[in-house]
Amino acid sequence: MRVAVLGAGAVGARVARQLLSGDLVDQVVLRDTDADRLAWVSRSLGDRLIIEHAPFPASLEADVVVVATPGGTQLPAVVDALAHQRPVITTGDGLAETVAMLKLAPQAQEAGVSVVLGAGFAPGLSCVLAAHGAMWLDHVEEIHVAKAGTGGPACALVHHRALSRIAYDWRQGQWARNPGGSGRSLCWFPEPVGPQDCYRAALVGPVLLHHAFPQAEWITSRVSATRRDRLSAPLPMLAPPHSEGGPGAIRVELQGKQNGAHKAVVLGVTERPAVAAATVAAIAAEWALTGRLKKQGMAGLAEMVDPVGFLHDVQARGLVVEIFEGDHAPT
Amino acid sequence: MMRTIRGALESVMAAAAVASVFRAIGITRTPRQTGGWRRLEGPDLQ
Repeated sequence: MRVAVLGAGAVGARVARQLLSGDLVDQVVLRDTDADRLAWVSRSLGDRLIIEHAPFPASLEADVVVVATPGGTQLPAVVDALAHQRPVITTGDGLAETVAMLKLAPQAQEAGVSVVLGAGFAPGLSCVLAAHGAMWLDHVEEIHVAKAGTGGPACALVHHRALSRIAYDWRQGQWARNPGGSGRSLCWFPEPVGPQDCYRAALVGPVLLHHAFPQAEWITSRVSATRRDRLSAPLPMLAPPHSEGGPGAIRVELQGKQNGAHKAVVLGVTERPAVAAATVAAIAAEWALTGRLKKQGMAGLAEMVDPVGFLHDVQARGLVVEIFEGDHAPT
Repeated sequence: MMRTIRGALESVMAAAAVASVFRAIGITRTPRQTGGWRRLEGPDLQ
């Protein structure tokens, strides 16, 4: 089996490493436009790794393509992979780009391949947690996702821009538009991240979750931010983004009915976002290789995988999924 | 000038006193977490 990983950044390099750590994948082709970065990554990944210094959308031979390139470059890569009828796993969390990708869903269906959108930390693992939590409810009424922290520089840039753009929440049958950076909500993440002020932002989570849970009446997504983040969001980034973010976390809260009574389920994960995103993307790629994805066409992980099996694989790779238990779980 | 400073200080003290009364009777501006996180395992993953 041969997997192509586009992008040798904080997520892409780790995806390649995780795929090569097992026996399922014979060869990984890692492609990036940065020759120095490729050379640095290839030093520690052995001879099953092939590095290619080439533009992202150029066609290549592979059984699965993992797109871990910066925001704005993922759509052409997906178009190219679809043209060659290859399954695709994308890790992007850009709202506009993911919506543009969803417009290619008929083509993916026609080509008979699976395209997993947003297979990262949030969206990605957050969608799997939502699907898992939904199994404990007869009817899902609300889904609220919050994320703290960022991965590599591309993720930090998306986070920065998202705070100054229009956020879309699904509310009572329609998309509610609100300015990014509004709607402060104190969200309690698993330790060591703990409580963080979170705000609306132009995030793709509600779009993918509405696709998976069309019956849910209220779907929101928020990110943690400081006053400085919100104040400087409309400006270009004042300082270059960090090469690797610190500890991050996701928190997924579902409200609904079980046996006629109201019930809330709160799940969370704490991990460095780039590490978690790479783990999720690598597992998704392995599931695509072994035919374990649930459907052909284009969707987020909530629709593509069996959440129980996927969470087993996630925990086996060292991520700890946690559930909140208490009398009251404030957002 | 001194009267202004004294007035400002009295306002702050009054606000702190009111806040402490609210806290004492359980009304807080920031919601508190009254539970904890535990690892998802066993029956949770079936």
